[in-house]
Amino acid sequence: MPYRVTLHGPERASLINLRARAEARAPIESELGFALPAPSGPATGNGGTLAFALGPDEWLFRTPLSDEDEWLRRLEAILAGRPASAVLVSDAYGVLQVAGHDSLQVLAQATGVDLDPETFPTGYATRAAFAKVSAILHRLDDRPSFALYVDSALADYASRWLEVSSGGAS
Amino acid sequence: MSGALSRRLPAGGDIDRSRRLRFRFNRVDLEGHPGDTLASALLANGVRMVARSFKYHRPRGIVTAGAEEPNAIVQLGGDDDEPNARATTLELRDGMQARSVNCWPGLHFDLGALNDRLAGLLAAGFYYKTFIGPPGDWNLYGPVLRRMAGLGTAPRRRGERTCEKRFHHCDVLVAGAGPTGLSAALAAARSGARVLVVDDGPVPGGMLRESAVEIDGMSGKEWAKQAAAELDASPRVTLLKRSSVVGCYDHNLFSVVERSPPLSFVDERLWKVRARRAVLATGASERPLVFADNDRPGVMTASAALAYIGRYAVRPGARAVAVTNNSSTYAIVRALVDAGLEVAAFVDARPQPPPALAREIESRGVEVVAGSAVLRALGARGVRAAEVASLARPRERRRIACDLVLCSGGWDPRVHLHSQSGARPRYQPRLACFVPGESTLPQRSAGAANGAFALRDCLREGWEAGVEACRDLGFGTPTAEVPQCSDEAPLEIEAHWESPVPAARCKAFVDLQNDVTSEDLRQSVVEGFRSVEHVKRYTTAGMGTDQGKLGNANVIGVLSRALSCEPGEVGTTTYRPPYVPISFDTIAGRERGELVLPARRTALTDWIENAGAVMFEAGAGYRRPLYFPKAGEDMAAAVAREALACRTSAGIYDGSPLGKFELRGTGAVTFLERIHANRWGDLAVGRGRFGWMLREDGRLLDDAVTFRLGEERYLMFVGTGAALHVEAHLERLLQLEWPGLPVFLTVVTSQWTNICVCGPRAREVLGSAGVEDDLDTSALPFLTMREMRVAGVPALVARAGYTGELSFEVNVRARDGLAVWKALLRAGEPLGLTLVGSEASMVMRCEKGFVSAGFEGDGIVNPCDAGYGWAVDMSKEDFIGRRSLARDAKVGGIRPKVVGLLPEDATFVPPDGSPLVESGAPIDSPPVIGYVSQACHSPNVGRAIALAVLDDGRRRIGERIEVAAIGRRAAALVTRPCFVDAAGTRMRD
Repeated sequence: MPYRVTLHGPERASLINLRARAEARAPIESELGFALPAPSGPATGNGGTLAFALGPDEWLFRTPLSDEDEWLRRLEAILAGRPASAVLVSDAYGVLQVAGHDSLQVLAQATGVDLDPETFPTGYATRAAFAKVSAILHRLDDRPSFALYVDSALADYASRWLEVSSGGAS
Repeated sequence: MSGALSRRLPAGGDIDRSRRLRFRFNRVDLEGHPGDTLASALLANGVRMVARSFKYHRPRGIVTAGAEEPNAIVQLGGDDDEPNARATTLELRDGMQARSVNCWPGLHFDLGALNDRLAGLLAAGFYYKTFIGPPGDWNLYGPVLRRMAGLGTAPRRRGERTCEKRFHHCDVLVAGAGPTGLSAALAAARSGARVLVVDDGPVPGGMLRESAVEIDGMSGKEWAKQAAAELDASPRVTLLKRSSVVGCYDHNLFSVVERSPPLSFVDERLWKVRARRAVLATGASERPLVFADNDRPGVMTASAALAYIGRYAVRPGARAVAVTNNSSTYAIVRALVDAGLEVAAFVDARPQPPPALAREIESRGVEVVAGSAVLRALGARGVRAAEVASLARPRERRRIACDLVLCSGGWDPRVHLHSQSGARPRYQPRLACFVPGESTLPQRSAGAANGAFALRDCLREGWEAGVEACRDLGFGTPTAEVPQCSDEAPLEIEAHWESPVPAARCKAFVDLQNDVTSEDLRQSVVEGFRSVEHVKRYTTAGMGTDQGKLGNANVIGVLSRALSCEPGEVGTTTYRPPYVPISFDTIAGRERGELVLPARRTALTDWIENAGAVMFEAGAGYRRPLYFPKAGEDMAAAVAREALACRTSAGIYDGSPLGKFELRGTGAVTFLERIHANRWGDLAVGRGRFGWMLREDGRLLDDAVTFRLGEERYLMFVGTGAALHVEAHLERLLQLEWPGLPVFLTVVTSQWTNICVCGPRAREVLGSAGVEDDLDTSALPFLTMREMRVAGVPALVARAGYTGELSFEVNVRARDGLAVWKALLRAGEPLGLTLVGSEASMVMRCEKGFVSAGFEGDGIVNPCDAGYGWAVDMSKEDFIGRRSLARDAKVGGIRPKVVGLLPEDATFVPPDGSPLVESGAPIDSPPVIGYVSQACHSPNVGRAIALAVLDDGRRRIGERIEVAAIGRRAAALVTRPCFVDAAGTRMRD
């Protein structure tokens, strides 16, 4: 019997890559309305937005699809002249979702990250090696459901990987 | 063999007698029960001889009841189709088909048995000695020996089993669920830790499954059952049955193979376990004794006989002689006699066996023979008798009829995992065995695996190890106490490595699987081998699929006597993972076929595949079109058509795999200046520039074309194959070398679909596709980039390309890529727009002499050698590679230069990499003066052309040299490295 999971994607999300030195964080956070997250911990967000830490000075900022150009303009405006950058990367990522009772068993085939709910509760996100590609893993809820952000050039591979590993194909 | 189930006891064992399983062994149909292993079922059917040995093809029987088994290695047929299965751990299934290996035509009549008579030719190291001459004859011997070597046959079918991998994290890993492991697991589980317990049997308990001991007021078997039930019920404990911890690696990473996971469609699972602490409770294996013909079917370890009786209710023989050098065998023989096995004599090598234990045996009517040993087993295809003699008077041999020789040479803690961690086991003379040394990882050996063989010590050490692991990790101490059992005398043993061999022709085996005898070991010492590692390789002792689990200790013991030293001075060989063999499909898991390597795809890859392109795996793992054949076209014709179209009408290709980096920040110009050999400070917004990035040694890293999109915003394009390491190079510089430089690099390779339209009609194609902006050179000169709308979507259009023709690179967001691609194709159709694959691109680069770091960048050529001196500005204060270029100039001498070649035979395309030699140079080993970096047939020049790297090449333009291709020397004219539009006007105007 295959694993009990449902797979979605890859889909496009609205994503902006944010880079900022320490002195540029405050104005960004004030514009976003929330604090940027620290590496390996919960993602942060406000309403429809979400930010993942990619490194000590790098974040991936997700906005509603309809707002991406507006957000890019706003961020570029406040970052002008500061040691920071905002680059639209919506097309550079594919977003996959794995949900259901056996999600952990499927994901544990691909990543060495400890996804146990005690160490990786809902809301947590991390950058990780996934199958043979790099991904951002985000735990969405306690079903449990996870979102995976992978290079859009590799999204088909990751998607096929999940399909095979969940027992849905061979 | 006798009738069905004739050796099965009427009661007992963990088997389900209500069901019968049919199986076939060597074409004979037999029956067993659920709960049997193949070995127990064979013994129950009276099958004693199960295999022939590897080298001498001697008859062999079952020796153990576990993973140590060296002999009972069978080939599974039918649906299993698997070689090297161990009958002793293989659970019997209905319909199982197994056959013996190393025998032809059959097990009982085997032509290879002749080898036993030719033993003189096949002694230790025969492979290096016997067949060494006459010269050339190895070609005769080799194929014969290779056919005879090896075990079993590889599966014919592609693996059809479903195997997967799983990463797992736990606080405490407990390897082994015998009394020690169960005790440790209970302690850890009750402390609240996340525990993973791994046991190789279908039922946890280890030796408790067959021994008559009491723990906490109940039978050992019942205690194990309750402990396993408690662990199974605990949500923080995972108990894996039928699983083996096969490897221990740095940072307490363990690999575990789980066979037939319950409630799963998976056949086998490879776990990769990161354990914060580990308890190695892997127990000990009983060591056989070394005596003449100790390989006859019917010779087995004493504990194996007890296991067959206790677990499977199978009596492995009718009449036994037991022989030992230690106290543990007394309890075993007592239990065997109580279970109804006739024991003709109990031989103890020690002159004074423990009187109380001896009395217990004698009270059961068994003669105890002290200070003696079995010198030889008699009987060719199965033991018929044992020759016993006093060790003080070995010539006075006494023959005792029996069909079973049960032996015990002591116990060897399974130190394999401990040793794999990097620790060295140490010899403990009191126990005559190697015990774990200092652990280098957060793990602890406990119980029999630690040399604590008494049950009470096992329970205590296991418990303490579990408690200690949890305490280290900050968990509480369990409220319960150490499980209790009756007291037991500690192991008493006197090392007895080998009995005197009564006749020179007899063989006394130390490694049964690889047919290594004690005489082989002595021979290797005579020949000068001293290190146990060398002896191992010379004699092959311990190099079988069993990795010498059973025989290694005897190898060390016999070797220590031959070298007149202590076993501790000989030391152990290196134990390597896996502890038991793993099949390749388990290692591969799900990563087969299309999942072996991640293939990158652009927004256009689906379309391109559907258009019938011949695809190949290009740099960075991209699937790219090699060429687009039309009906009836071969590769050469398709490539020629595509390359011609680009120079006569228009071509279109998917350039999306190009590496693309966006640079932002006030330090961007400084950054570009430092990483390139040319100047960047004067680049205007909207303009682009070509530049070489060099390594510190001044050699070619990669070329880039970078456009300035805004005051502090640049978009850099680099080669596909180099993109990943250029990114790493640039990020290293930014993060480690110049962390204060205000520049941010964002990889946008997959963000943009890059479509290149090239050729004299390229401008018309874009115009037809709805581009309203002025595309004339006056408005959009070479190396400029503008935002404009193409096919109705926003695009960054650049005058750039890799073909030397008028080219437009259209960059659109990947979401728009396919629509724009289709629009351009539609617009270009009436204009002769042709789909172009990578091969035609490479032909065009060759025609133009565009140097590529992947072809001409050989680690010697610098940009000046490559003809790009114009892109090197030594007047710049500094850039990466500048110092090395200055040194090259100062040292002078002959430098390799990139040149063009025209083979005199216009149809001869020399293979890439062909060496260049002087015309008329000697045929044999002429001095090499260069090599062909790429050659092709150019449809635009109408002949074969090549790029080459040639010593002092620029000075030699107009001269003739020779291409020394494999099997052909061909004259070629040295030319400038450009065969089409040398002035570059097509590209610029």
